Amino acid sequence: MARKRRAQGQTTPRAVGRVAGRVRVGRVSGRVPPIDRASTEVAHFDEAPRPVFHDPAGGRRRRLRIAAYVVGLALLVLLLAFWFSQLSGGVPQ
Amino acid sequence: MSLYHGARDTGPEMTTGSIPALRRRRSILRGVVVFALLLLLVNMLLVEAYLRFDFAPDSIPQEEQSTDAVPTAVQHGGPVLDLSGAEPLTYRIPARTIVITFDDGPDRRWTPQVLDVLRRHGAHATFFVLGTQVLRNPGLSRRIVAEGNDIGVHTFTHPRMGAVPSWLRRLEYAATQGAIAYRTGRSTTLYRPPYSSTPDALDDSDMAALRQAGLQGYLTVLNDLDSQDWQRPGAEAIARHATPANGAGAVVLMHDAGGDRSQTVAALDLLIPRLQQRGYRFLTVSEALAGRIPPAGRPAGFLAQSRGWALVWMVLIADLTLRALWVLLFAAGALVLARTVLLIVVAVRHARQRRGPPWSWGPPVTEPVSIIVPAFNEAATIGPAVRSLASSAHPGVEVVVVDDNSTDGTGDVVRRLALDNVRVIRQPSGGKATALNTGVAFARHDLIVMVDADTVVEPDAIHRLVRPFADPQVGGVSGNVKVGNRRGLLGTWQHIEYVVGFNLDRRLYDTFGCIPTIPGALGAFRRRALTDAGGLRLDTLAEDTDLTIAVQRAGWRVVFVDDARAWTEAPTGMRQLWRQRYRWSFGTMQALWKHRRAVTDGGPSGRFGRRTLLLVVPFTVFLPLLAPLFDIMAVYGLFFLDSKAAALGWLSMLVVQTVTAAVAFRLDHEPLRPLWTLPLQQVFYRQLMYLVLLHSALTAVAGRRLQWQKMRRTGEVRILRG
Repeated sequence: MARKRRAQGQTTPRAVGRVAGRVRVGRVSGRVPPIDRASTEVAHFDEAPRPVFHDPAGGRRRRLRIAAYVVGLALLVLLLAFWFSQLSGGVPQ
Repeated sequence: MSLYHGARDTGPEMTTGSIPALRRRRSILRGVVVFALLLLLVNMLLVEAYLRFDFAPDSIPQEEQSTDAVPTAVQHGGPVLDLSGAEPLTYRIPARTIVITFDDGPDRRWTPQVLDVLRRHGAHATFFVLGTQVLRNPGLSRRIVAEGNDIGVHTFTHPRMGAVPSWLRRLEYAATQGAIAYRTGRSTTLYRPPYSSTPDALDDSDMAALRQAGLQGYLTVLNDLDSQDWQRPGAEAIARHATPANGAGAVVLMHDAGGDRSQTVAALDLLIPRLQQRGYRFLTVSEALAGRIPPAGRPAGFLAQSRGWALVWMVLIADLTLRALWVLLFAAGALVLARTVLLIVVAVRHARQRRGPPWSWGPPVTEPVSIIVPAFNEAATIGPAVRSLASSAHPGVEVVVVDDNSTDGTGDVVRRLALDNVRVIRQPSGGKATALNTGVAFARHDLIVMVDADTVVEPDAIHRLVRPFADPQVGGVSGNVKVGNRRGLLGTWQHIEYVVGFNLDRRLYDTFGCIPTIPGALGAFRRRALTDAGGLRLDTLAEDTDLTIAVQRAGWRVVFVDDARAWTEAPTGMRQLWRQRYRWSFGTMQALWKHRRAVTDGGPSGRFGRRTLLLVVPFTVFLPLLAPLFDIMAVYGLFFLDSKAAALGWLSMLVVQTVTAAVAFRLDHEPLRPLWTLPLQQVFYRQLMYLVLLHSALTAVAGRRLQWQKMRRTGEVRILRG
């Protein structure tokens, strides 16, 4: 109640300009930060935006990798099989 | 009260890829995939090259060779040879029997006419076909067999068999056999070597190939009489050459492909009835020698047909691959030509208009300007940069350097300059976009210029840069950035690239109102435009492109000013260049993808989106992705197609690029001397650029996260007077 009355009565001192350190005005004492430091507090948002194309779970990457392995190895096997079949042919007996 | 947000340091991504053994295995597998794809492309191109190998016709005269290795029995024997055993066996055609043989077919035009004549006269013949022709004319091979004729192997591509290695000969026989088996359902034991003649004309170089064919199960069929139809002496002469003396039997050589065979067809129509009247029969080889040699044609087995099936599909896919490459090459060529014409016409007009006396942006702009310089570990370059900015010839310039938690004393370097109109703000590590947002928040004025910490500006650059703000619709202005360190080839190539990019591309985009990027090195914005665009976003690596697009989508105009010049430091090493371009191209893809819905928007956003889709995307994404084709097809053409045409095509592209670059250099008042490096740039730098683009595209598709990578600075930038 006493604090409320003081506020209503405008008795609390206010720091103006670059005031730092310990101040004593009447019966009130406390620490007052420099105003410029007070005004440049870092405000973190909850989540940074997700980069475009980014797949955090890695599911797309995994599927792509498996598909590439399967296709690549299949191509390699098919190519080898093709050339082997062509080079090994003679007149069918 | 100014608030800004710093990006949290999320730390390295924890994935299974960080396990060393797994990483090694994956890199091996990745190598296998890349190898397989390259192998496939090379395979298709080589198959095509092999199929299109131009053969010399049978009539080409051959050099005299020794005949010591040719057995006497072969030299003086019949034209049908069995060389499968230790002792050669030869067969002669019985009396009053003609075996007409046709080489080099089947041919779409002449073979049907030959078959018609044979059928009309109830005659049979033997066709020695080329594998490539069988693949191209499937119906004709079937008709040859269906009408009772023999079909034999005349190799796949008609090489001189004595001159090719044994494995290639084997391939020639097998591929042709496969093609015949797949197309006709029959196999054959008959073989005629290309460039062959009568048995007494065989020499040592032929014998190895004939023995190999014999060991594989083939009967070699040479000839007794050459009709000489390849000389086109007239139908009567051909018929005369094909007529045996004294009622003897003979194998007669004719051709149903490889040129105009109208005389052959006419001669056949004369020869058959004439000899039939004299009691001659026209039979195939196997009919003529029935009981003495095994049947020439049998149903082909599953393996032979499968081999043929594989061959047919391989050729089909190779054909399609090459056709697709040609289509893409022509598309790329058309894009290059369209771009060149458009660039030159529009850029020259743009320059003339802007430099002409009636041009004005409006009343002089004298409002004060805040220049924001984001910096992370830029101690080597920031001193000259800030000094040049602080002493700009514009009233009321303030410079706000945002030190992004540098560890090399960047902020101290600036403070030591002791310049009155320069402030340093240090922020927790947050990246370039965050630093720029911080700078915007701390800037006192409404005209905001953004400059990189490695960039030095000319004294009047800032004043010139903000002149377009006299037009209230202009929300952003791009300056003209030049390379300030041009030492070495890499520096020169980047210099050329910058001059062309700024003086041609940006003028074109400016004319059509779709500049995709105000470069981070030198750009200006109205504060309101920045607010409308939502500030700089953290979700792309090309924050400058993202911002420029957002500003235009918000309805602001963005223009280019060529006389506001800044000199920036270009990467001096390959690794640095790769990293920079990788980030640029990936970031550009991110920004274009992020704003893709602009294409369907209404109002200014839609207008910008559609113009970008038409002008920027084809030239900055599609064209660079198609660029490798110029090199692939040039190399392919040089070795396997018309080498003169290929060289000419490649040189014309060089000429087009040189002309384009020369125009850009003239517009920028730059000396043309660096252009001598353009031919070298075509065989090295361009390839690097499209590899970077490919890498970026793969990164985007895979959904990987690409982080900012710090460039190594040398501080060698200086303003060069042209």
